[in-house]
Amino acid sequence: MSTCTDTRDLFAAVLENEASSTEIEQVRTHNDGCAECAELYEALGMVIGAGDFLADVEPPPHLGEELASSPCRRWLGLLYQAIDREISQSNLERLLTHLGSCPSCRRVWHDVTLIHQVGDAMTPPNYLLQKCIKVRETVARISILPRRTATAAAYILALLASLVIGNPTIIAQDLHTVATEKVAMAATGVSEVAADGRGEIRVALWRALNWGEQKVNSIRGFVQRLKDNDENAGDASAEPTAETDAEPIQQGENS
Amino acid sequence: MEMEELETTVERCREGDEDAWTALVNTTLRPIFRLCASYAPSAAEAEELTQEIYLKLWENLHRYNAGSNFMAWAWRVAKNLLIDSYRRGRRERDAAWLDPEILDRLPGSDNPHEQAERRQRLGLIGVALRQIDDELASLVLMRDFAGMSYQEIAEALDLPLGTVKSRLNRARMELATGVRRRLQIRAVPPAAGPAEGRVS
Repeated sequence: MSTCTDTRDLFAAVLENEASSTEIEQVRTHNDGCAECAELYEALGMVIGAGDFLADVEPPPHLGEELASSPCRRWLGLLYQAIDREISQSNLERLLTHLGSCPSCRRVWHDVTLIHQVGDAMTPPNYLLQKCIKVRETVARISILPRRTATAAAYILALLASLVIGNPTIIAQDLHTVATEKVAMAATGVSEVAADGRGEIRVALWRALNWGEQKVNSIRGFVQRLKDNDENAGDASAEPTAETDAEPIQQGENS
Repeated sequence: MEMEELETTVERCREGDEDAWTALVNTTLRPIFRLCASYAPSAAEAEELTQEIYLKLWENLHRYNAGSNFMAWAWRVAKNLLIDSYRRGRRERDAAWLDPEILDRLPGSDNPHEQAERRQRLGLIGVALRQIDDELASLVLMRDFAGMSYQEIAEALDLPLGTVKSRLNRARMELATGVRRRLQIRAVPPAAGPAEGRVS
């Protein structure tokens, strides 16, 4: 019996009908006794067979038309030269003759003309002029309140809002509505000074930070006292009261 | 407004002359709006984009190199805004130039048959444009839709004039091929029985 390597070398020739009868017999005898080579032979047969199958597949009809019209690609160059008005007189005449006989290129010509017509039709509405002139005023405001400062102000206001409205002291004192109004006033105040000038903004932010710091300290003290009370549980006199622990909202007015 | 006059106007704008800004907007609004409408997915967004671009132009006016091309510089300043807008339009499969309001301004728009056909053709162009690479599509938008000159495009993209021309040629070829392919796909009847020569 021949070796696997020798036999496998003959597979392609047998499958492509180029092997002698002796070689065909040699492959058959070997494969009968070798399952691995038999499987490989079968797999190779499928691969080669697939090639036969593809040979029968016809290209779709429109592909032929597309390829047939592909020589027009060289005319498209001239066509665009004509549209850009960069074409010589002799080429223009050649192009016009071609356009007369080629519907495909005529279509492209119409498409590009249409694109240019659409471009020409894209005119701004009348009111847009005034709007665009006014954008300068927006820029002028932005230069007084730079984006970073505005962002900082927004963050600080958000922090203050959460601190003031959510402050347990204020909730305990039932001053929640008053606190909300305070935050709204602070927001208005910052907005107003924002319109006035950069220096005032810095002052307003400094005041807002101070106010926020006071509120944080107030909450921190309140929580500390609650902890102390827990440790001295049982001693009712250590219970915090609104009068002793709550910081009146009026203190915030300093800001 | 002549190029020289435009330069003087820009210079006056930088010096804070308010009338000069009005004159500058007045002169450049049409080409800038056209540029925005070429990239934006809707006419409304084109208007917003125009205002945003003027905002950026005003902010950056001090950086304009006196004597260079204003439109090319405007494109460079607005580049990111325009590209973002175009990508958004690509996702939404829409374009400002397909807006009925703009199509109604085309010559012969009183003929419904012609109008419908034109809309269909522009729809095909829109689809084919979305199929080609963003950078190539941008060249077609700048040149054919927005009407920028080769020189302006070259300066805006910082490319040699010859490169702009050859790339634009490629972009247009791809666009034309795309439109033609779409037409052929439409022309093939869908599943109308076994086609001649097809392996069953």
